[in-house]
Amino acid sequence: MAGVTAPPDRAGVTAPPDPAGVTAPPVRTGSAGRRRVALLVAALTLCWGYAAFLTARDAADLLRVRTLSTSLGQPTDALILSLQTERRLTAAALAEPGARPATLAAQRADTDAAIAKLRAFNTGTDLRLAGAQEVRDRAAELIRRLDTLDPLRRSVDAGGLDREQATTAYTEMIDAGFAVYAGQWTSRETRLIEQTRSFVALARAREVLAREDTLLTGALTARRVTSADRARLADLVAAQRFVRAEAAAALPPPERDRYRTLVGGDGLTALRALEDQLAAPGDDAEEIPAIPPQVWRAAVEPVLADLRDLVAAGVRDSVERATPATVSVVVRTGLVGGLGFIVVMAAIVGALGATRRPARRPVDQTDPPESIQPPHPSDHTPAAGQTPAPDQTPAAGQPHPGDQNRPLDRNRPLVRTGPGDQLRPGDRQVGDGSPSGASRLARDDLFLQLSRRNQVLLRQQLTLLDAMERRETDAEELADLFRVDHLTTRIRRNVERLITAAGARPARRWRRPVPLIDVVRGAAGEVAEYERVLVSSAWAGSLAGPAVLDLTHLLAELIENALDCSPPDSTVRVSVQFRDHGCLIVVLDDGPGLAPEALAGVNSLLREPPPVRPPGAGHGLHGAALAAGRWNVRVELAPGHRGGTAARVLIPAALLAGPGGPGGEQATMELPAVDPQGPPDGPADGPVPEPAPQPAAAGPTRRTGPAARITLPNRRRPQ
Amino acid sequence: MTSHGHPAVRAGLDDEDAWYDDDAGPVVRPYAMTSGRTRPVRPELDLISQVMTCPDVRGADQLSPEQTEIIERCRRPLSVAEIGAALNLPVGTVRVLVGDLLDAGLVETREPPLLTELPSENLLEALLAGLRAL
Repeated sequence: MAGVTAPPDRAGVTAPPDPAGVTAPPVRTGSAGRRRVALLVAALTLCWGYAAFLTARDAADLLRVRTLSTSLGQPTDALILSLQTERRLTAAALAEPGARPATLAAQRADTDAAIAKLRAFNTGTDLRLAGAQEVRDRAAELIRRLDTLDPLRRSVDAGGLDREQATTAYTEMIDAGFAVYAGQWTSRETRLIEQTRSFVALARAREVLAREDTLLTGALTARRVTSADRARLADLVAAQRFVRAEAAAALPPPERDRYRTLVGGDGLTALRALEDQLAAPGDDAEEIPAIPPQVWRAAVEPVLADLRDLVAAGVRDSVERATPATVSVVVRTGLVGGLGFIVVMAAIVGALGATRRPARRPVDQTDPPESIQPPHPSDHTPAAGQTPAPDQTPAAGQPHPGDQNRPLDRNRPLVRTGPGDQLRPGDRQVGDGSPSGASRLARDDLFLQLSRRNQVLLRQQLTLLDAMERRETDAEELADLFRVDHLTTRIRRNVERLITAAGARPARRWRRPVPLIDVVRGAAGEVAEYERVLVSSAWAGSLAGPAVLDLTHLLAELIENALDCSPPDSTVRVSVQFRDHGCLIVVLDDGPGLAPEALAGVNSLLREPPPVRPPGAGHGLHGAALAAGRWNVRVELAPGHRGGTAARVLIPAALLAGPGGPGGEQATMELPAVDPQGPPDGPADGPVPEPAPQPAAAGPTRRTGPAARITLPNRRRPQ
Repeated sequence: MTSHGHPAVRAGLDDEDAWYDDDAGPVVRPYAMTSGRTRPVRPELDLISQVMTCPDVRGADQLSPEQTEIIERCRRPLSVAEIGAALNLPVGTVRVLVGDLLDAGLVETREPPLLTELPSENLLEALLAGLRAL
């Protein structure tokens, strides 16, 4: 699209890179087919990439959960269990000074083994755990806490700690263990994670019961339950019952049923009775309990074991229940990844095939509708509805019959001068019946259908953006919405160009006239650096509806080209001059300008565009020339009077309403002669009767006046 | 339009997918009206700022169509939110456009009534008492 002011031989060099990559690359040697296919392949790749990302994320989540639960979950679970037992045995040992039960030493060894396993996880690197950083951090925190275990044991052995202090130290370590489970294990919430969380909650309820156990074991072993012990016990019993009920409510149905059985069973009933008895306030401050520690052990041990079984079995079963889903996720990942890849590869192969045959794109511009028909003074093609059948000889004036259906010879002269060679609406070139022609038509048809669907999607997206922009009151958020809006509009332009190039009409159409200034601003909004475009404000007149889309795209090409060919900190000015036979829109830039012979080459292409884009020319230039030809609009490039290039678009009065129209006459208009030097301070583009204040008359970066600044303040590139 | 010609056109999907005039959506997207700016040069403008055209301003022909319409509509005071609704534009865009008009001295704003201009506490209490007495 940057090809208008760029001569064909240096076209690929002048265009700056397009930051968003939405418009076509600056390389101009490809065929129109390649461009279209590349767009399609890009869209396909994007769709596939997203689908593959979604399913791959699910698969990665599952892999991560599995890896985490074997390498971290199970060791942590074993460690918590060991610490709970060691805490209880420590409390018992401290209650009986002098006693050094062998069970405590054995338990300490067990705990050390569990810690060793956890350390192995922490030091190991497992690529499958990429993304589980939060969980790893929590595991590291747990291990840091475990470093205090040895000093704690030494203090216990030396008698430097009482029962309560030692218990609290162990409890803190166990809490750090549970914190590992609270980390985010997956990138999003799944049912499996939700269920796992309910089991963790039940395990925590069991931990409260274990604290109760530790407290009572210590007190009963010491054969003295103080009132402080009793108060703590009452707290723990209440907390334990509440947390347990809460956790049970969240369990999946099978485990909830098992839990209900457990609650109604003998074990929990006996435990509840014992708890109530022990927590009941006694008469004395210190009472020698009638209950020996063995009775408590016998009551609490089965419940602890039952709860543990319930948690372990629940976790195992919920994983099993999720397995069919897991299998389907893996299958889906394979399907999306593999099949999608095959489809994309097939599309690329097809694209390469298309580029090997320089496509003769049959451009069939169907008739512009309704009242206004584009005038074709020199056109000999039949009127709409009388279009010849594909096998009919083309209209007189064509070089020779059948020429347009032959693959283009690369060495053939591309800029032809015969007047009948211009493509007109109603012209039609379809496949010549050869197999390649037929398959090409089928493929073109597919492109067209997909582009039309994209058109519908883009319309929905813009409608949504309209609503969001109206709701938004925050300037930053609105600026982002505007960026999305701008990108969407640029994509829409490309899709519409694709549809036009395929010989069909885009869906956006106008019957009523549209103000010229809106057409120009709409065109400016369709290009990348629209902030650099200054539109002069003094515009009147409207453009006939049917011509709006073609002229919007034509002006967008010229504006984009002017932006591409000028320094990034300069402005591009668009102004209008009304004349007797129409109006002249001038797009002026501050670029280096073009050599006279390059200018002549571009102008000849603009004047007489061949129906098929020559390999040297950009699609933008060619498409703009074809659009201009459809509406009898003259486009010409001329040197600006202060350097740079002025693109001049002469719109006939027949297309105008308001000033300059509706003349109705389709006079053949001559562009005014262009003086390469130009008057030193006059308007930028030749002799103009009414020198209205135009931004075009301003210096390269100067603004013309307050109003022009108000309309389009020049904002520098946001990047 | 007729759908003769290219097979792809004949394949249909042509007229049923056409949107005419207003259905085709705005020709100028809102971002293009302000060059993408969303922050007004006058930050004090908010949704309820009352905008009024300066008395001596007549049709200024150097303005964008939207600004011309704002000038015309604000012959009587309108809030920024009302202008947005009348022009069917995002409030953010209206704030920028009005900010530029303010800067050019074509419109002025009246801030919403201050607390001191509101009925006094005594009056409100008297009103409340009266209502209770009903």
